[in-house]
Amino acid sequence: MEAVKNLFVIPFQDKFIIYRPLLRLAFVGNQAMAQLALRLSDGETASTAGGEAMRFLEEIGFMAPDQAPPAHLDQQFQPANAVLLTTNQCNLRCTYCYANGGLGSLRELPFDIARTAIDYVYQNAIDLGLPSYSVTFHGGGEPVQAWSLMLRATEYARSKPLPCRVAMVSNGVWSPRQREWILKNVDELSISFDGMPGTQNAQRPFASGHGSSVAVMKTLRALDQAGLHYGIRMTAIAPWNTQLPADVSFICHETGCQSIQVEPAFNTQRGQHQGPTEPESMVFADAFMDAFEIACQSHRELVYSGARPWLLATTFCTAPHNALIVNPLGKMVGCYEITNDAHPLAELSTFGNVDNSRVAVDNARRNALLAHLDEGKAACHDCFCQWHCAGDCYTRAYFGALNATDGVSPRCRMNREITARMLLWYIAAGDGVWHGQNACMGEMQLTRVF
Amino acid sequence: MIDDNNDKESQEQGQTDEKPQVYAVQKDLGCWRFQRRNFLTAAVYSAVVAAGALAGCEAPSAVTGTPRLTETSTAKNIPAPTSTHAPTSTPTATATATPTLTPTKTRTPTPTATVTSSPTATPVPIPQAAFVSDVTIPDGTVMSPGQKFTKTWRIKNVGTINLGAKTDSVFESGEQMGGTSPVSVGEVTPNSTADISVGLTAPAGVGKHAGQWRLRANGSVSLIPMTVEIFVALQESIAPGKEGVTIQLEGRTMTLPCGSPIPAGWVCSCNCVTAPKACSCDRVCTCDRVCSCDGNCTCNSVGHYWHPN
Repeated sequence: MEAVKNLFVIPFQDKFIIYRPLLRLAFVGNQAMAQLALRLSDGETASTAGGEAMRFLEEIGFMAPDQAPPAHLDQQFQPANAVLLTTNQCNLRCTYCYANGGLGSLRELPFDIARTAIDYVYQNAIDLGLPSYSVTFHGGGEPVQAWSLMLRATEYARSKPLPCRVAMVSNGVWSPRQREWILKNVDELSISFDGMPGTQNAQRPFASGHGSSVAVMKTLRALDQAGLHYGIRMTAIAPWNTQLPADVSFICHETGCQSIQVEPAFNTQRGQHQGPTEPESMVFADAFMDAFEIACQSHRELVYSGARPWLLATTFCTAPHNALIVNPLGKMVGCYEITNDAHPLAELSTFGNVDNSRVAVDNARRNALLAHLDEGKAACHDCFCQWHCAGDCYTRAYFGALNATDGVSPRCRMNREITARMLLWYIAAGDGVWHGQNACMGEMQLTRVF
Repeated sequence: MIDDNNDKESQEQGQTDEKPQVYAVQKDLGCWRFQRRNFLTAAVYSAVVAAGALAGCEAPSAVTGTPRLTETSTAKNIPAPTSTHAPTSTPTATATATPTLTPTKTRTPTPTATVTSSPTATPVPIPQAAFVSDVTIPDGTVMSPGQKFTKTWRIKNVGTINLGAKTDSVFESGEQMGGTSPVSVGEVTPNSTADISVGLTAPAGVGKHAGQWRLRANGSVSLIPMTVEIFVALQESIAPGKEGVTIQLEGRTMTLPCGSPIPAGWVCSCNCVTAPKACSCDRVCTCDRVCSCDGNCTCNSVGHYWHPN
């Protein structure tokens, strides 16, 4: 019999989560069961292990060979998705905004650069024989603030023979005219929204200081009434334990949004980047699980990008691999958060330029970035999250590592803690054995990436 | 000196470790609980639970009070189990220095106690309670600022053992509203109910206010949460030109800030349009819990809503 590979024994309280990620199989056993599983992974055969335990393992499929690990993404850069970081202007002054959006001199992506980027990804889609390509309007500021550019770029992209899917990340503060256009023209939509009126107003105020809750709730209602499947992107700041579950509950009860992504922010000032401390990471883990259960009870999906047991991936995010991300300076970057040169990872993340006529990819720099990503995963080979966070977000991990005390950052521990508890949740929902089903949302979403 | 209970627990722990076992998992009252299962039935997912071996919550961590991963060193072994047998909050050993959660693939069994007795364990009863009703002040009750009230919850002992004389209710999170904590509940026998009352004062700030209290058996074992949720509103009309939500029910008229959730059953009207201020927009809202002046309000048609600065 083939030895059991890729096995992890995760201590939890006085028990062990016995986990085969590539087989999408997990259950809880005692120490003796964990030892048996490990002996099997070391090559001991069933005949010598024997007994009821072996029959149990065979019946649940534990003795099956691993499925093939997810494929590495192609190193060749041929993106069919243009992500346009259109402007640094914003009508909100979110207290945690890493980009310090809305302040500083105006930087807006010129249309000619947007057009070049669109031409580039369109041609890639043609060359790859894809049925469509996509354009995404994204962050650093509020895309709607560059309204004319958005209209023009969309019109241009849609004028091409191949269908173009238009996606957008927005704060949801729209005029009726904008709302009408967005509902008609945008295919995928993520609204940044933090929850209860008190939370939203405090964390995401207008530049005037007034709260934005009413305005964004109006948008969400319009989306619900239109029957759109949009996502909500929450940012959660301290105190997570009291705030996050309540905010998720509010979203579940007051909106029709089916998919909520929450990311914690640990910086205490705008324009800053900061990772969690050890206590913060554990408080967030607790709060996330409380919120996760609330979302499950409402049949909604709550996702934190650092803990994704439902996903098998070799990279945390496909952005550095197959998206052409261009910021208002015309620079090609590997992350949506590198909106200007002030970011500490701007130099590492910048691997080309887009101008009025061409996309110039600096392959040496891109390879250096990809090598950096691989280096980040070097410490993951013994971690049960290796196929899930896949080395984590390289920008967030960078700041998280600044608080590491023993080679493992609090963020990494946080991700493991949440992943393990999600596994327990799935095991409980699977009546003792997890076979890859998503307890909350039905079928697994194996293709989801961030 | 080892007391009998600990000795028994360690023996049973030893038994558990002697043979491989699998467990059903349950999230209960904020704790993960594990119930040992018969192998054959576990394999086909039926819920036959082997007698005993009910492991309770691990002691809350110092940080958040929630059980978490047992943190291990990077040593090449499986860490020794740490829990006690009973499902109470008996403190257990938790790792301290340089913890990592790195699992190991190398087997070096940790020495464990060996026992010779038969592996028959006795189920350990646990205190259990259920929330029955709000006797007074149901959620969503509207009050004036500073109004004093008594919140009473009714709970029931749904377990098989008494909730002891030291059973109490303690404030846990949210707003305490001046309530004294803990509140003694006293002994509650199985299948009987008890009313728990706490004197509170509505906060001065208008809007929704909520607090969570928790029933504790014998003053230590966390049982069920009990919530108090009120709306504080002003008994006055919205001044002309000011933003706000007017709510009405059975002859009472009160006001709330824009964006406030609307208490169930109340009818609201609002002036909550954020810009431009000069526009008058008093009208009846859709009242779908958050009053936001949805509909045909002409104030928003000016077109610069997205560019206020």
